Parts: sequence; C-alpha cells; structure tokens
Amino acid sequence: MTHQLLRFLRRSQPARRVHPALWVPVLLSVAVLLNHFNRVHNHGLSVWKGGGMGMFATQEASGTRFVEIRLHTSTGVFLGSTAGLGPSLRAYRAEPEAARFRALCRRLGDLEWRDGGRLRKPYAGSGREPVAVAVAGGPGPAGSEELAVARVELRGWKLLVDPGSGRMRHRLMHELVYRDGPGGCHEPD
Amino acid sequence: MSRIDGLRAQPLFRHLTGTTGEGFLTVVTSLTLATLVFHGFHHAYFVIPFQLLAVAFLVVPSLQRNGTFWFLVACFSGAAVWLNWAYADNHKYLLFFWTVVLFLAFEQPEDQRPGLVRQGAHYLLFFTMAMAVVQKTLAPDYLSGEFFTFALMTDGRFTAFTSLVTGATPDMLAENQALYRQALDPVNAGAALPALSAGEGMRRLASVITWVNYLDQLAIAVLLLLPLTAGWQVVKHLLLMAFIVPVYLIAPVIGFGWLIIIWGYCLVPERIAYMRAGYVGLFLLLCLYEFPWLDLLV
Repeated sequence: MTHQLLRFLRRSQPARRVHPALWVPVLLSVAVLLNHFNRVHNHGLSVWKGGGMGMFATQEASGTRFVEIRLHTSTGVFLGSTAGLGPSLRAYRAEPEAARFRALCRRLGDLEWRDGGRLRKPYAGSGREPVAVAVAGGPGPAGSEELAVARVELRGWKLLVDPGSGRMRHRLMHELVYRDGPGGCHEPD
Repeated sequence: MSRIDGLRAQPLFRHLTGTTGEGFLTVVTSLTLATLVFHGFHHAYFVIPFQLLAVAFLVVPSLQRNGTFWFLVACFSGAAVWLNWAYADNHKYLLFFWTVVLFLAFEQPEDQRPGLVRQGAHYLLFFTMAMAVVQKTLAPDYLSGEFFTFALMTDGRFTAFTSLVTGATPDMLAENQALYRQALDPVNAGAALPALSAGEGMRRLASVITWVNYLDQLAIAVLLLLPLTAGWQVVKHLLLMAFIVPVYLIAPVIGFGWLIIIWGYCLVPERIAYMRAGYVGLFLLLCLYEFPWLDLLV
C-alpha cells in the first residue's frame, strides 16, 4: 500500500515554489475567516455572511430573522414598516446582537411615521385582528398626516423550523421600547 | 489530421483554451470583468467608479493587463465588502480576494503572471471547498439532512426540482412557501404558526443532496491538495464540473458559479488544455441558467 502510494506520488507533477505575492490573499482570507468564526461564536453572525463558507449549511441565515415595530399612537396601534431601517436592519439580521439592536432602536428616533392607508392581515388561524400599517419617511398616501407616536415597541425575532415535523415557531431575541426624550431606548417595563 | 486535432488547431479554440501566447490571461481577465459587471458589488462605492474603469477598459483594452487597473478594481471591491462586511454574501469576499490576486499578478514580470494566477486560483478554490466542508460538518443541521429538508420545504428555487423528483405537487410546495413567508411577517410575530408539509420523498431527496454535495466538495478539496497525474487531473476537473452543473441549475447564484468556473479554467494544466473549453462552455451555460427552465417541466 505504501509502495503504491509512493509510486503514485512520484509519477505526479512536481510541487512548485509558492510565489511570495500569494501570501497576501492567503493572509487576507485567513484573517477574514478568523474574524468570521469569532463573530459567529461570540456575536451570532450568520454563517451565510461575513466571509466564511457556510452558505447552504444551516437554516440559521439572516433571512430567518426579522423585526417587529409596534407604534402606540393617539389613534391606535400601528405596525411599522421596516422599509425605513435600511442598512441597520440588514446588519442586525446578519448579526443579531444587542449592540446592533440598540442601534436599530436609536434609528427609530430619526423616523417620522405616517398612516400607510392599509391593513396587514395576520395568518388566518392566529386569532388576531388586522393591524393598520405605518410607513416611515417621505410623504404618505394622499391626506395622511404625521402620526403622534407616544411609544415604539421594537422586537427582534428568529423563525425556527423543525424539518422533521414541519412545525414553525418564533423565538424572541431582543426587545426594547423607544420613547421621545432623554435616553430614547429602554428595556420594556 | 483527425477532426479533434483540426478543432484544436482552430485559432478560436486555441485562444479560448489559452494555448496562444496571451490567450490564457486574456480569457481569465475577460471572464473576471464579466463577473464584476454582471454580478459584482452593489455598493455605490464600487458601482460608480467601476463604471468608469469598465468604460476605460472598453476604450483602452490593454488596461485588462495593467496592474494599476486591477489595483483600483481591488480597492473599490474591498471598499464595497468592508462597508457591508456583516451582510455581504460570502462569494463577494471571494471575488474581492480574486481581484487582489489579479492585481498582484499584473505587478509581476510577464513570465510570472500565469503562474501566480494559477496559484491564486488553486488556493481560493481549495479555500472555498475545504471551508465549505468544515462549516457543513460543524453545522448542527447539515449532515442530518435537516437543512436541505428545510430548504426543499421553503425555498422557491427548489420547487421545480423537488416536484420533478419527488412528485410533490407545485401547489403543495407553493402553499409551504406562502406559510413560511407569512411566518416571517412581523404581523404574525409570536403567534401560533401552522406546520409545513414534508413527505418522506422530500426527506430522502434532502438526504441524497446533502451527501452528494458534501462528498463532492470534500473530494474536490482533497484532490486540490494532492499532486496529480494527468489522469487524476481529468477526474478532478470532471468532479468540479459535476459540482457546478447541478448546483447552479437549482440555486442560480451565478456570480459565485462564474468565479468557480474561472478558477477551474486556471487550474487546467497545459497537457489537457482542451478541458478549458469545457469551462468556457459552462460559463455560457450559467448565463442560460438565469431562465427558469425547470419551471417549464413542472
């Protein structure tokens, strides 16, 4: 067996000297990979992102994470559209850690909300009522005024699917409340 | 002269297989530029300056072999990745690393360039396959088949393939995907959710895909580590092509597929240079993959 292996290797192409310049992309990729593993294990980064090779390895992808925004106003409770959260939301979904969630919450303070003029219907079997949608930034539908928001509840969720049974459930990852005034974002009461 | 010899003597074939003097690097850089144009980085710090670089290249084609040109491409690619580092797709990192390799290659004397390009391709392909195997091994839901069962249940890209192979109806799969999307809607946050449907056929298919994909990537990584005879080189490249053809048909992440094809092209040794034509063919095939062919069969 050893003899056959040695004969196979001897017949093979000779090893070439590694070009010194190759060390640049090698070290770069290894540095990125080490950062990736650190962020995955210590900060919840999805293995699908951040420079590793974990695509199609696990259902723990950024697409399984979402945020819920509930606006408490004088005219009722609205579901806030997440369209105005931009890169902050993408970053949180990729790496759902507390610091990013707090940054997302602080972003809410920059947003002006308007009635979106439509209802969002929940899943039929949930027993919940439809909720009015609020949109952030820019003019809303004709005639819509800016909402007077007393409090904003922000929650970060993860959707888990058990492939064996097909059951789906949500797991709450983070929760904060935003109020105008000093401090802004607080833990819920 | 046989027909095959006649084909190999054709100037176009010789150019595409990189057996002319400048053909190899021209094909590699051209395919890389196509990848950057059509499946590059979406950040404004890349898109706007790269438009200028692409126009410059069209007006002055020799820039394709200029180190400063590739340095600028690498810088803007790096900026795009850096600014989106947490949510950039992993193959965008690989594309950035590849632009660094090309920059470094074109800073070398002419006789060293092909060698450095090949070594860079060899390293990055090994890195991709080996790390994919490592992360699939470490993932808690990959080797059990749970991940691909989940993907077949919820990902619309697998609908046609799943329906064709398992007989699951497109309506059932569409209902699964609709329920899954509803579960990701914030209006349903915290609510009791319905269960998805997954038959035994889907689980078996998931298990097959799991192990075929895993073992193919493992085999490619191992073969990239070993010094090989021409015969084993052919096996290696056939395995790589066997990885590319089905994976990107089902999950058309074309930019990633193109990158792997470019690396495969680079790694074909001169003795079997005709195999590079296969990679050029695959590059064009992946363009066609963007059309939803499988949906026509369901």
